[in-house]
Amino acid sequence: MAQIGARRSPPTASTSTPHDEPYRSALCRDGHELADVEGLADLYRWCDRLVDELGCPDSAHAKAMSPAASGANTHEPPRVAFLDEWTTLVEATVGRLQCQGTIASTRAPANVATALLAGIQGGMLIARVTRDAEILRDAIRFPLDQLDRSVP
Amino acid sequence: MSDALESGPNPRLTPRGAKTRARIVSAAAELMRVKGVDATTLDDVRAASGTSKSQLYRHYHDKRELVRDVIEFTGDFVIRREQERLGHVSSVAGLRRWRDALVQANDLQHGAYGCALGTLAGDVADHDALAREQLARLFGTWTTLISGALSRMQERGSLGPQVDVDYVANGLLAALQGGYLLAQAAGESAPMASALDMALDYIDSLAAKAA
Repeated sequence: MAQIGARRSPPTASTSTPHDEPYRSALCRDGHELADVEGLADLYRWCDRLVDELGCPDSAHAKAMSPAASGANTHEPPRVAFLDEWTTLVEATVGRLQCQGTIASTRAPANVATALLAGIQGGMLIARVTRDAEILRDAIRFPLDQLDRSVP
Repeated sequence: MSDALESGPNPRLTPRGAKTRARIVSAAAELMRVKGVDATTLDDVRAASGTSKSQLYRHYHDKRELVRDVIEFTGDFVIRREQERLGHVSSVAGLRRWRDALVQANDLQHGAYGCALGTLAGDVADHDALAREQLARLFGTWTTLISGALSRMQERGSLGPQVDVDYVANGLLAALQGGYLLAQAAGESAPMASALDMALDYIDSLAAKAA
């Protein structure tokens, strides 16, 4: 008898595909760079490098974070896993800097990571339409401004 | 909304022709908002607008022309809405009401469709230079509406003169657009709310400084 209702297991994020590799190495690099971040100035510098990275359409960051990727492959497992892990890395870094007292601890680290990713994706969208790369740089710096300890 | 339609490629439209054209554009706008530009075919538009093949082709020879009119139509809708909501804002409380309206509307559909204008931008920016320029103008106008609200806060003294309102307006629009995209991926508007709240809390703290 046919197995009615038998479920096929859905593809999961841990299923390794050839697409994973660039994402893996990008996360590794981010992890190393973020581990060296010791203050807000370092974070700005890290984000500036990220802007350069996002300017290369073939980079892992651009592929994962591009608003175009939010269409057909929004739920593509390697992309989703990359964004999850990237967000976790940022969150951990913000949490560490807050513990050390180098940046304001008024914002929840998870919200900071979300705001940064929103700035990146929104900035990429608007920069693509306006052909103005500076908009992307500003859009990414803006959430970081919000971490300044001198802002009450 | 009719500016784009009247100045379209066919200036000799009869009132009935103009009506048909408007029906085509609004049906196409709805389809493209929900399905995306690529997935929307002229056949889909024909079916959704209840027009015949010959009627549709009398107005639009190819999808590109139709997409440009959809951008004009959608842009007009969004800019009018934003003009209405932001046109008189001159306080953080006003900006929060603006945020609430956007988040609540997005929440109704669990963030599924994102920003109508942002969706078009994501879909066509790389394929059609003219469409891209149309979108650039619309995003420019939207940014100006936000920076207008911030400038009024400055005039009232609730925001310091050192605050670069254009920079903050760009950041706020990016937070909004990125928030829409994150909400779409998450199937709920929470990330959009959170990104906007952080930005507005920051603006609030700048305002507190000025006070």
